[in-house]
This record gives sequence, C-alpha cells and structure tokens, in this order.
Amino acid sequence: MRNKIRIYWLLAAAVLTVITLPAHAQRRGNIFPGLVMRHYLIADGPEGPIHGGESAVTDMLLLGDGWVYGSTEATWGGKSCHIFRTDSFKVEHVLNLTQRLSDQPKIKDMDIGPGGILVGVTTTYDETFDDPGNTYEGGHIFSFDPATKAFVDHGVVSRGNGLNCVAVDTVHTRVYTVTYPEGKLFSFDYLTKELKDHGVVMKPWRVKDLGRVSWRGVPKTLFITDEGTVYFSTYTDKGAQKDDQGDPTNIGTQGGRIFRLRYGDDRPVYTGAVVPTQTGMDDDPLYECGIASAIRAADGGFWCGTVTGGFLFKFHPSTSTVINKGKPFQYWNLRSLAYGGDGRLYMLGGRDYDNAWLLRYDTMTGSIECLGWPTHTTQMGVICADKNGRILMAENLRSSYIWVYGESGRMRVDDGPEDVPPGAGGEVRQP
Amino acid sequence: MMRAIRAAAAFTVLIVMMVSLAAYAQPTKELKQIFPKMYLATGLEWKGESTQNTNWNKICEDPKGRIWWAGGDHWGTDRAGGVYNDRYDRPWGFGNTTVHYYDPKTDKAVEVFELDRASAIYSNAETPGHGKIHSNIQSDSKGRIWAAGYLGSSYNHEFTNAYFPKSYAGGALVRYDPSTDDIDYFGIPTPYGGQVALYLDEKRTTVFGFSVDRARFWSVNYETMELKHYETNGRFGLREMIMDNNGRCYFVNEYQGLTRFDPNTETFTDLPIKIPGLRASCVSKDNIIYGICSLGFVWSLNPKTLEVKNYGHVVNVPDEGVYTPNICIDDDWQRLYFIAGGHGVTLAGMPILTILDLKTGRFLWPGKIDIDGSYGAVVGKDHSVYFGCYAYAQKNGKRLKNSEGKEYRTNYLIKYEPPRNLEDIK
Repeated sequence: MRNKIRIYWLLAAAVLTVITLPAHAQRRGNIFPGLVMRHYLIADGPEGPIHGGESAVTDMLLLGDGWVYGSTEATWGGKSCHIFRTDSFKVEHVLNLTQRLSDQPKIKDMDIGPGGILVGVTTTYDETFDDPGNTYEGGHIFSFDPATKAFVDHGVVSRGNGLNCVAVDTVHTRVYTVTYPEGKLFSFDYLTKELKDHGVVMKPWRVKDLGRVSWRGVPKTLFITDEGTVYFSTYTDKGAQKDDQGDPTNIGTQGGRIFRLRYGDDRPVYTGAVVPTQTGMDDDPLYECGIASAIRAADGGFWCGTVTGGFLFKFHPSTSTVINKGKPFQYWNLRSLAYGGDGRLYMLGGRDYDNAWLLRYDTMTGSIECLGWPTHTTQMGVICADKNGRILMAENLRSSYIWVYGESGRMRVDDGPEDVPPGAGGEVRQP
Repeated sequence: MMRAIRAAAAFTVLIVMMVSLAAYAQPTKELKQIFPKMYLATGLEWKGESTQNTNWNKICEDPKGRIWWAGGDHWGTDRAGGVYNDRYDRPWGFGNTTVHYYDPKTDKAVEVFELDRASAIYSNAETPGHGKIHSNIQSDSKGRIWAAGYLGSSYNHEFTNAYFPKSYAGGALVRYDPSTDDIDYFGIPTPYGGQVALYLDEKRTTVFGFSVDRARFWSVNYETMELKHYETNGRFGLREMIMDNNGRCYFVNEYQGLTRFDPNTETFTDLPIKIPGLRASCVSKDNIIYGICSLGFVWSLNPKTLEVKNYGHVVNVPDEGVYTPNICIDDDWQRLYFIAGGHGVTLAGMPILTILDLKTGRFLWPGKIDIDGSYGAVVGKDHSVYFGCYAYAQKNGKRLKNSEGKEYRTNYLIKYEPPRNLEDIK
C-alpha cells in the first residue's frame, strides 16, 4: 500500500513537471521571471507619430515632473527623431525634433540644463558623413522645457559634423559637447551664445565593418564636477616614436587616458588616470579603450563603465584616482548606469547593436552580479530609474520596447499581472 | 484507514493533473488516414541504427525537377525517439545534418552530403554541429544547392549560466554543385547564431538570411564575399522571412503587419497593412505573397497594391490554434497545400493534409498523415506535392521499433499526388 502511495505521488510529481515545463523552459539568459514587470512599445507603427525606425532610444532622464524623458534616433531609412516621456506604464510623444530641425535624424545625447529643462545634441547617419558630397549642416545644440514646451535651437556647433555627447555646467552656463567624427571639444555659453573650440581631442579611426561605416574613438560621454571641470577619455599622442631598435612604432600613442578641462581653460590636460583594461583583451587599445558611461557617486566621485573591458570603476576627480571594481560579465561596453530605488547601482552592458545584459553593483557590500536579459533579441542602449526607483531599460531598435525592472523599486508596488514576453505565438514559442 | 485516505488523495491529485494535461490536447475528428509515399533520410547511422530525428527546413525543386530536403539528428539529444545514448562516441560528435534529393524520374532518394563535413566543423559536446537545417534549402538557376545550419537553443549560448550547448559556431552557409559534386563553404554570417531563413537573389548575387540569435538579418554577396548585418527585425515571427520576386524581404512586425526591406536602398519600411501573423510563406509567379500564421490563418498580400486577402482558418476551426509551419503553391492549378498541425498540435490525432483552392477559396482535407510535423513544402513540375517531414519511423503504414523495442523518430520526404479535379477527393 505504501509503495502504491509513493508511486502515485511520484507520478503526480512527474505530471506536474510536464505541465509546468513550458513555464520554465524559457531562455536561460532571461532575467528571473516576474522581475520584469512589463514592457511596452515606444513606436506607434505606420500610423505614427513615432514610426518604426524612429524609436531607437539614445538617452533617458528623470525630470522633476516625475516623468522619464527619452530621446530617439532614426535607423535604417527612418527620417525623424523624437522626444518621448514615460511613467513606466506608457509612452507619450512629446516632440518630433526633426520637424524643428529638418536635417537632424538623431538626438545623440541629453543632459539636464538650468531649471530642469532638457539640453540635447543632434547628429546624422554615419553614411552621410562618409559621403564627400554631403550637405549636412552640422549637429545642433537644443533645449526643450517640458513644462512650457519651449524649444530653443542654439545652432550648429561645427559645420558638417555631428555631436556625440553633451554635459551641462549650470554654474558657469556652459554646454560641453564633442563633435563627430571631427573629435573636437567645444563649450557653448547659453547666456552669451559664445561658442569656444577647445581643440581636437581624438582623431578617430574610420572603420567599415559588416557593411556599415563608423568612426571609433570619439568620446562617448562627458561628466562634470560641481566646480565645473569636465572629464572624458581619449588617448595621449606623442607622435611616432622609435623603439630600442630604432624602428618607428606607435608606442607614443596610449589609449584610455582620462582628461579634464577646468572651467576657464583653453585646452584639456591629461589627469594621469588610466581607464582599466584587461591587457591583451583587445587589439584596439586606442580607440575602443575609453569610458562608455558615467554617473556621479555620493562621495563626489564618479562611477564609470569602460568600453573595451566592460569594467566598472570609480574615478575620484580630486585625486585622479581610479579604483577598478571588476566586471560582472564576459563582454565589453558597460554603456549605461543608473541608481535603483534600492540604492544599488544598475548597469547595462553589451556590445553596440547586440544583446544587452542588466547588471547590478551593491555599493555597500561590493557585490556585483549579472541579472540577465529580458529576451535574447533585446538590444538595449540605455537604462534610467523612474520616480519609484524602478529601472527602465530602453532598446535601440527599429521598434523599441521599454522593459521595466521592478525589483529595484523603493517599495513594492502592485502593478498588475506579471509581464508576458512579446510574441505569444510568435517569438520563439514555437519552432 | 489513514493510508487509504492518503492513497485516495494522491490518486485524486494525479487524476486532476492528468485532466489538466489533457486540456492541452486538441479535439479529434473523423478523418481517414492516407498513406502517401515516404522517402527516408538516410545516413547518420551509429551502431547500425539511424540517429536521424528532426528537421525543420524548407525544401526546393532544382531545374532538373529533383526535390532537395534534409535530415538531421537535432543535437543527437532529442527528447523522444532518438538514438542518443552514445552521442559522445559518434565520429561526427554532437549534431549533424544530411542533405538529400529525390529524383521523380527514378523514384529514388539519394543522400548527398553532411553539413558538418561540408562546413568543416569538428562537432563535439563542447562545440556542437548543425543539428538541423531550419532555413530554406534553395536551388539557383544552375541547379546549385544553397543551405545553412542551425542548432536548437544556440541563442542561449552566451549567458554565463549556459551549460549546453556551449558554443555553437553558428549557421554555416554552403553551396553544393551536383554537376561537380563540389562544395563551396561561405563561412558563418552570424557567429553563434543558427539560421532560420535563407533566400537567394541571383540578380544581386546575394544571399539574404536571418538568424534566430538576436533576430539578425544579414546578406552575403557571394561574388565579392561582402557580409552585411542589418537591423534586428522580425522578432515576432523570428522563424520566418519572405522574399518576393523582386528581391524585397519581409518580416512580421510589432504592429501586426510586415516590415519590408528594399535591397536597393537598404532601408526598411513598415507597411500600412494588418495580417493575422506569419509562420510560413510562399510567393506565386505573379508575385503574390501567401502566408499562414502560427495559429493557422491563411492570407495573401499583393506587394504592389498592398491588398491583403484573408482566406480563413486552415482546418476551419478558428478557435483552435493549429500550428502549420508549411505552405506551397501550385501556380498552374491555383492551389495552396499545407500539412496542418504537428509539433504536438493536432485535431485529428495526426496532422491534416489540406488544400486551398484559390479559385473558390475553398479548403479541402484529403486525409490525415502519421507524421510529427512538416516545415517545408514544394510543388513539383508534375504537380506532385512534397513535404519535408519528421515522423515516427514506419513501413507500410506501421510504426517501427528500434533495438530497444521503442518507436523512434526520423526524417522523411512525403510525396502526395493530388487529383487534377478536386471533386475527385473523397
């Protein structure tokens, strides 16, 4: 009798396993089920206002009104770029920037300006830069006040060049930006409208790879201290050097160097700090050895993610000290950072135009971990915390989703039913 | 007494679970079984038994009228029916595929090449080979055969917890020339990614394909060997891509429509249309796209006018999802053919051979066939209809058993010879 009971229970367990198998047979790289609370599209499809091909997200910022504002770029034939906003439930279209600045299909980067307004920079397709007959006027600096809807075009920075990144110094009324592919650092005084050229900080490497041209090495991020010193990474170049045999080599050029430009200086200088790398990891130690992302730390330092190694490191501007915290996954390009409501530092890692992983670093304990990806086709470019501290992960695809990671929130919020991966009956559910 | 109560409780739980499991099954209908000719995919034998198991490729007809299809061992580790206990000992390792043709003139099937060998993969447990072909097998105008590899779950490989398969090299692209018995290996367009679509555009000397891993759309110009990667697309179909007769490619998108790729401008456009979905497709000579979604709804699209026509459900049970990943067209007789169901989804106990008469919009069901699933179909010059299938091994309509006394799964080409007059179908 006892054996029969055991057999029944064993059979029941086996059947239970079969019944529940589909729920557990998800992608092994997935973020643990239930932690992604929902996802929703940014693009509206052929009806617009955000068409497919116009929803690749380039940046997101939480503003004082409690909304997260995002910028997009056009991809593969898309014409327009947009500003949208989201409350972690839905997307609202805010502005078609290309309707204001007709030659600008991409918003490349944004920062928060005076009074909590958005300050952004624009660029265009790499193929346009590669066309010697192009008539591109150049990337603009613009500002947009979500409260009043006031839009201001601050003009072109460098004729024929796009803008790659932006940082705002509200104390000294300066906007800093780096041109692309030219590689020049500029500052713009938004009160006097004075534009200042601080010189070439990187001569990038033109690369054509898998059918697409790009320029490697142009600084991807600028970050500013309270006193108005702007930091970025590039290389030091002493020109051609001879080795001990007298043969010319490139040993005079060294990548991953952190530079600074103090307010009032004409030219940036090398701080002596070096971006951590894994020696021998990459055969491109100049152009791909840099800072992909940075966020201010509570102690006045900056958490930074590297391009080549995918390392998380702390940079202390006061002492030019670099402390490498390591890496939580085997790939490179730690491209976006945000604090969750739980106080932990969330990170987004992964190659450009490829899968992206959500990662987490506990600044109190030093624990670092890889949380996974929403699906194996999610290709995300940026993360941002919403007003409740939940992490929004935004894709940089033709038809991009925002994925809401809920475990980072300050408190548990009942947001309704569990998220269902896209494409029921579609995406990978069936062979 | 207590034991009896416990036993009753356990039995009740078991029954409830069995009932729950039964809820996954489909209703059955009275439909006669038919027995079309079946041609076995040979090769991949180990210790005297075939390790052929599953294949999901589309099939084609070459200019000589031969039908090309494939068999595969599906990692050599499939869940049911496969011979896989000794997989580590096999000389070809872990995952391999055989490509075959069937010649209607001789009524014989011939095994032609193994994909692992053709693409120089030393398959093993750490670096598995091509467990199947999932994309199209294509013939060019000279009769050369194009194919690319696939390995299930290859898209899991990179995550730190991935333990199997560890590092699939990726779906290799090969071209076989039957006139010289020579293979050209074109490399792996998407490293680590298995291919789920492959189309040849001879006008542009380019192969277009699509990988399950990252939903990556790519092209290879086989004259210049230039490889291009395009934007991720088709995440909702993920197993299907269309190429029309002008070389334009289509992917199902997030807006219940199609995104079209223009090879001249290399740009994408979301078409202002709605379709039921996309799991299998074919294109008529006059460039009308026909498709079926994973639930079994059939539709067509005129790419010029963007007119969408809906034909209804493949087996007329719109409330039931009938997974049908195959479709083919007879342009002259104006018919579409399907084997509806399979891969665990069936209404009649077996997948159902289905004909859609495009002249009348009427569906006909000549019978059910004892297979597990079909992913590729093509109509031959003589109007015979071919399906690449995987099924339990059988002979004269009866299932066979292996040396362990178990039924086992293998790969077949099925040949159905339809009547000219549809009224002859009883």
